[in-house]
Amino acid sequence: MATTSAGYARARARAGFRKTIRGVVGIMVALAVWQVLASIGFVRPEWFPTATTVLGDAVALLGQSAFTLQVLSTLYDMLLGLIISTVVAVPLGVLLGRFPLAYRMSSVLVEAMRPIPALALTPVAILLFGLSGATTVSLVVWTSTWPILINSVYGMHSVDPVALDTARSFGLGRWTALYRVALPSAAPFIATGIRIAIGIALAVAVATEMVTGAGSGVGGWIVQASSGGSLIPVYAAAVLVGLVGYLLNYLFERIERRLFRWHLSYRKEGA
Amino acid sequence: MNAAASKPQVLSVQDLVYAYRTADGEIEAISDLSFAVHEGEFVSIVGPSGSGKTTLMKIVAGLLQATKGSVRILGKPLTGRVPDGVALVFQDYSRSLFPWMTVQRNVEFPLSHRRASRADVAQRSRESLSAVGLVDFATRYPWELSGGMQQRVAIARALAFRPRLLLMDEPFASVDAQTRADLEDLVADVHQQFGTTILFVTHDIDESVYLSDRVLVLSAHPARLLLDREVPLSRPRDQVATRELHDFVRLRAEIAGLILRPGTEKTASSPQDTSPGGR
Amino acid sequence: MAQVRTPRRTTAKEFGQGIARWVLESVALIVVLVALWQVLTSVFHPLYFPTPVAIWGQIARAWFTPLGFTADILPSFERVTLGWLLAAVIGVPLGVAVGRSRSFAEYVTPLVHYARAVPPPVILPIFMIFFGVGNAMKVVFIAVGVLWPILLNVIKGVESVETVQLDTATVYGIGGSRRLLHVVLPAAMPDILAGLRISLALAFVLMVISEMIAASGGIGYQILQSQAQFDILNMWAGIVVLAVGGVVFNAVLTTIEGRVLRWHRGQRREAL
Repeated sequence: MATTSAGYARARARAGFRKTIRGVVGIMVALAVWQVLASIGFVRPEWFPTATTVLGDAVALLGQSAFTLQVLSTLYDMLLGLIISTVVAVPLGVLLGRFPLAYRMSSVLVEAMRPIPALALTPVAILLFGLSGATTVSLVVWTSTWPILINSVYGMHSVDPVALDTARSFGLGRWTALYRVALPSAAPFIATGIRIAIGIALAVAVATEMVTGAGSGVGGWIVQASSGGSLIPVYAAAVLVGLVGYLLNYLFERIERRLFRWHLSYRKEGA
Repeated sequence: MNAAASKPQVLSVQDLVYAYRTADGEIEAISDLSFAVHEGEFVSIVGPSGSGKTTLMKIVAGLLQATKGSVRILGKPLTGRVPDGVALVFQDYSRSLFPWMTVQRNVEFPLSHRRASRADVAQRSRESLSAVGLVDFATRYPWELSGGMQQRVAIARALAFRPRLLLMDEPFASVDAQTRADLEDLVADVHQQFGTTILFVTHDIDESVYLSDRVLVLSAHPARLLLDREVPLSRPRDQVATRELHDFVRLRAEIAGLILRPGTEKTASSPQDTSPGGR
Repeated sequence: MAQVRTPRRTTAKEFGQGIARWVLESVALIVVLVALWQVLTSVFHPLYFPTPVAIWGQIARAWFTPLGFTADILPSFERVTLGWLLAAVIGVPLGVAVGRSRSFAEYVTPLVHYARAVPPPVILPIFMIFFGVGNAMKVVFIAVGVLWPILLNVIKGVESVETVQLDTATVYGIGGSRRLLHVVLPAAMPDILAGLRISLALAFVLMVISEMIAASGGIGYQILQSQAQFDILNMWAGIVVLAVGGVVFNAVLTTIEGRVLRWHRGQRREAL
């Protein structure tokens, strides 16, 4: 029995390795196609540069603090916004999930606020916070709050009442039960909300920076760089910022998987 | 009952081997298995969990390919394609039914692409739904029904297909005892009423003896045939009276001896294997 | 054991009471908040926050006119709709094709994840060079931006179709297009629609950014212009029009989703 389970583990490791290899091959093929298309030269090279040109430029950009500092600035604003909305939305979602009347009273309001596009509020944010990072942060907060809030409520609604009753029967107080039982079982849903928020927060942060003006963050950098007529820096920045977004998402998924191994959606194969 | 042997063979399995590869090398799940099922027969396969019973069912249904040996259905060898006229009822009723279709749509779905007329399809679904007592629930969705009722829908779907061979893979393993007894009698009735040939897999010794004309006992790791025995009980059978008969008790004890106290065979012993009284 | 869990049919009277309670409980909060806004703004006259009544007046005067409709409101919502639809028309079949083949999905998925991680606004300048600043650019930009989340959700949905369901179809000899249409697609539908809903929100963001950066019309353009000219009232009017548009689009999609996925919600409720 022990040998077979070790065998399964090895087989799974091999499948994971194959997956990685195939993913890399896929990206390589895409780069090769890009390279060939761009080399044919039916579009001006400064509009559609080859993959090697862009990758070379991207590596060079990494060494320029003028660029990397802007990336860090955008990341900082985005993460700050995410943290603020998590701190606000999770407790709010837990409360709305626990108290049906509060949920019923607020659900229409939430449904009406949620689809308001963050960018529509840019001018208001500019008026309130000026052309600063605070504007970016506030719009990231607006965007991220809704998915986190809704998933928190949903997570609380799917807490097994039996688990809560069990906790109460062991003498846990109402709030202790909420903290020790309900919150952990809602946590995977909350994490899903945060992951959705991450997906759109970076786009909103960059977009806000592009509107609020040149100089600040990746968005500002893009506006300035693209005014020169050559698109090569824009491509290079897209490659690097994409990498940052990819790593951010990857990291979060890894943490999620590690923390919530017990949760159903992660043990589909085991069932 | 011996008359069954003179009837044509619906299924014949010859020297079947199934092995799968792991990082540690090949592991044999089924080893040199041979048996036949004749028309109209109700044959049970009983064995401990993990004895390759489900694998066997999947091979017969054409979902898996055997490593060696031959499987013939109505004389025709399986050729890596799904055989005609075979229906399979899975253990996992909640997943094998399509939740986006009503009960009736679920039952009619396998029929609607055959060249049957609309009236014929409706007639067949009605007939099989009434055989399982669910005519009144035709417009419901599967998830509106209890587990036992869902499994009855799966059985109705299989019946409407009018299979030459009905495979049932531990169909009642996940319902409660009372429902299980009801479903056992339902399947026995259906077998009598439609004359369907049934190959029934279970890990429950009682159930295998109670339901079938013949019991095949398999060993675990790998699956080998330990016993092939006619069941000397008349039909119709009764949940209480039949189980008290001397023949029933003796055959059950013989099978239990093979499975629970194997001579040379090594068997896994997880709790659910230590059946007979475990239900 | 309970035989059937029958959802009780509600009577007309109960239905009426339900509506009344719903209005009282949920709409009341909104009414109270808007009233509060009206009172506070008309008492304190804050510089940046006009009263709701004034905003409504501005909308009626400047936006709900033939010119306002054709110059700003219609173009904006047309861009969102076309871009999003274009992405859906490409993304859903493509995602199904990729998701059906495990090895193909393994080659392509990291690439799609990467493409999805690039914030679309970063590549807006590229679209402006290739497609100009007109309508076509915005539609294509929105379509490319929202294609990736749609694709990822469709792939995920198709990959997670239950093996037992596929086996069932196989055993009953159901293959090819029937299996795709009646088994794979319905089973993947919850994920597909979730992807479409998430991408609709993104489509709105992309519409506004493309109009703010490069346009001479549209709601996003009007909002930013008004702010630059310190026409606070008109800016708020634009925001409200945009917000109402977002709510309406979302409501339409949610309604369709609720219809199509009635079975899914019912099933999930029973499972909990």
